[in-house]
Amino acid sequence: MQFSYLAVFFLIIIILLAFLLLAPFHLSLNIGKKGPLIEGSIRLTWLGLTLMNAENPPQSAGDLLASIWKEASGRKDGTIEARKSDEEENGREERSEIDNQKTGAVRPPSIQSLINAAPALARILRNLLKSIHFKNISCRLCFGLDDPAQTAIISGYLWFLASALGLFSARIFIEPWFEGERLEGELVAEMEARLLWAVFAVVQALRVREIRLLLRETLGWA
Amino acid sequence: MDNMDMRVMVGKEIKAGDRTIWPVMRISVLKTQEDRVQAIQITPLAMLIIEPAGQYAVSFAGEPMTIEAILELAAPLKDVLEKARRSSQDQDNSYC
Repeated sequence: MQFSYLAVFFLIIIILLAFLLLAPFHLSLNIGKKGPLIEGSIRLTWLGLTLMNAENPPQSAGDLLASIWKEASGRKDGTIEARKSDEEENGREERSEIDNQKTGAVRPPSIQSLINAAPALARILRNLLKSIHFKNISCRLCFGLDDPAQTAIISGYLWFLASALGLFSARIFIEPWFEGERLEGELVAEMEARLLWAVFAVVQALRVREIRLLLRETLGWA
Repeated sequence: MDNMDMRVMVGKEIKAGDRTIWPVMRISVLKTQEDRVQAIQITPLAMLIIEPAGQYAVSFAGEPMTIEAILELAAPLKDVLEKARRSSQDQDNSYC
């Protein structure tokens, strides 16, 4: 009797887990820049529930960068203050590596580790990309650099990238502007992602020694 | 039927010591009926070279090229040349 209760409990857990992994997340992205004004919205939903809904009213690029910069510097100041108070509590200065381990802050790994882990990282990226399914994407981009030759070359690279990513070329519109510097356009994308492939990619990644080494170095545990 | 958009443009200047090189190129853009870019071809045509000693033009076709000919090819170079001439005159005046 007790055994059957346990079996039902595990069955419910497995069903819930499967549900969580298979139910898709929907992401709607709408970003546009016309003239000096930038506007956009991001909406993330799961099973009809809105998990995130951010809207950015039309504002100039300068204002947007200033607000992002302000936010980032505020966060940085907060981190520094927290670290200072922590050091005061300890009453002694710690070496940056030990501090790294304590705070869990990341640090850049060595180039050799990155090179060793590159093939495994490419596989993980491929697995992660498998989990993303573009339902609808349309992109219109008009750009120009200070050199017409560079504009033409970058235009070619962008077309290559769009083609390599397998995006619907009919809805991708890249127009080079040779008369001077310019950046205008809009991106509307609707995509859905299932956690299954992402979890699969993470589990597979953790099974590779090079990735574990890279992770340990990044977290300062090596 | 695709259409071809051709224009002659002045590229970004290249500085080599006291010398400034202004490349002139032809940009050909092949577009579809829906105005979508199919291909872009960049053909270098000539360059205007400005040195402290003077200015001259070089054609990539291998033929001699006069300043007037390069200005006819790329009109925006008139301003560049005017500016260069004015600055060299200023330098001469300061030496006197």
